[in-house]
Amino acid sequence: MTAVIEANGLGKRYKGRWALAECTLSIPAGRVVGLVGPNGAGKSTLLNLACGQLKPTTGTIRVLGHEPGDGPGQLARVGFVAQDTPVYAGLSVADHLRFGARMNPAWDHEAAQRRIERLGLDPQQKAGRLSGGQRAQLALALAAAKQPDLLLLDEPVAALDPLARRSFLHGLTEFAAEREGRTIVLSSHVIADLERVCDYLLLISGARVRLAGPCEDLIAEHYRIVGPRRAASALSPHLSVVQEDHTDHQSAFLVRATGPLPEGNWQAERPDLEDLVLAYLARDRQTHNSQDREDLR
Amino acid sequence: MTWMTWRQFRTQATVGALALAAAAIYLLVLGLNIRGDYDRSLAKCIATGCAPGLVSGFTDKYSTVIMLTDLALMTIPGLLGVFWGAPLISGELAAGTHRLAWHQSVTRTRWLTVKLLIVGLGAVTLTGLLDLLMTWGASQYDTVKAARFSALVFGARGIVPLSYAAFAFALGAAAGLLLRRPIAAMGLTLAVFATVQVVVPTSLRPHYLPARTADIRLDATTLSHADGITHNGSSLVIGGISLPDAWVVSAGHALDSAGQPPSAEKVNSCLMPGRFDGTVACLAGQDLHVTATYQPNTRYWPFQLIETTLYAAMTTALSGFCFLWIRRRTT
Repeated sequence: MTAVIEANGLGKRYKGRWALAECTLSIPAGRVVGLVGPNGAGKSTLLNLACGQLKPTTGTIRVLGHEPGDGPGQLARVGFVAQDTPVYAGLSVADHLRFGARMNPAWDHEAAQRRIERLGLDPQQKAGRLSGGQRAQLALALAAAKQPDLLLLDEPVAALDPLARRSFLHGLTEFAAEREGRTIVLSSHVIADLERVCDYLLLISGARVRLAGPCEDLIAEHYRIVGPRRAASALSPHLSVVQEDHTDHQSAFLVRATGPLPEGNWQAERPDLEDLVLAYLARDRQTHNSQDREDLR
Repeated sequence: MTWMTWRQFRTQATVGALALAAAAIYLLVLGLNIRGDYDRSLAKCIATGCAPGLVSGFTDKYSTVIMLTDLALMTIPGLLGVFWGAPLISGELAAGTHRLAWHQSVTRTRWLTVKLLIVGLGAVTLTGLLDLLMTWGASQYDTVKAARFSALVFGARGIVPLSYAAFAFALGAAAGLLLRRPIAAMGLTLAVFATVQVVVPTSLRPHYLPARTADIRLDATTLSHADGITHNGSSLVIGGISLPDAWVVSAGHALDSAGQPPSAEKVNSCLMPGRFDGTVACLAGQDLHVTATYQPNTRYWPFQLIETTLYAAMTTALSGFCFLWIRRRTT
């Protein structure tokens, strides 16, 4: 399968601080990718590099086989909904559709109009007077009617109430289903937002990619095991420990298995996506803390 | 892109068009008045020589209103730079809408080209129309007054105002791109444009072509047109020396026929405080002269061309900066 986004040693530095470092990844086509990580982890930086808004400090990134933002053809194939979904406050909803129609050769006017109608947006309303949810929907309608092969969305639901969030994500899955092979990458710092729609997970924390893969594979590779108290080193070498928890008599681990789970005197269960993400984030924080302690010494 | 640029520029364009219409009516009325007056009084006699009072009466009547109008016309390019140029890009950067605009199927370069061309041409056209009306209305006054090189008149006639408008607009756009905030960009545009408009006429314009040198005899006519006569012990300075059909760039102090400064006694004997005519008559009899550098009036159009080229070059440099910056640095 061809990669939609291919990054190699990608890094971006702002004023001495690395917002994204040593990022190497390959995202296949036709996926809905959830880009997850805490605030300030580098999600926006990655998306902005992928759409060409930013240029990398180190490494390379290729999107649909080309350099991001390189020429009108490439711009036409990648849709981008920026953080806070900017729209022209002084222009009406209808003006925005006219704007999209004149700026994009592949513009699907009927689809855009249908979307606006279904949302109940008044075409004459100034975009500056729309609610956050309506504004996000307008931005999505613009990006979708452009008919891109890849749609990037930066924290699109962060400012929306639960109802607007659901309706927005529904609109997104509709767009993905309209045509085969479309790829969507949307970021959020809350995994629960994405769990319902995404089938591919990209976890970024501390400017680095921590976990990447199809959701079902990731879930299949991980186990939560609970058994009598033991050290992590006492587990099978085929298991790498992501997270451990000990009480006086019991030990609980979240492990990644390279093959089938070996037999043992424990109970095993599948974690869900949220468990996984939280376990990786917690591990990350521990590593940071121990590094901090070493720095202090 | 053209549609979008026009849609965003509509309000400013309407305000500009209304202001243009009002100014055009004013200039038209002023021009018709001047031309009517000229035809009634001076047209018949100007070739053979009019009575002195007639000419000065005509120029005195309009000198103030024309000076004020020229001053107002000189500010128009600056205003366009501040209100059309500075918000052009900074408005988008401040509102974040560039993150929407730059992800349509139009490159940043094209986006910028269309914006700069449409709004910039609007600014140049508006300035040009007003300039044309003023040049038409004041043409006879300018001929009689023969002071086309004076700082105000030079900058409000001919082709230079067009280049001022282009420069001010490009300056505004570049400032907006650099500072990303409309108000700051407007301030910077105003400050830089005002500085350039002072530095160019005072420091650069006199030297576009090597000035010529001439000895000007201080006869009664020259002295009576002087702004002031001052004597500080060693040198006699005559202010506001003028040459017919020329722009006097600088003038030295008075010298006698032997090329020496006149002696203090000789000068003092002539200075009669409060009696300017007496002073003039006495000094005129002493056979004094000053050495002045000047630019002949035949250089008026070459100077207009040189200055237009200078501003056009600055406009090109600023636009080039915008294209480089928007592609490399702006996020």
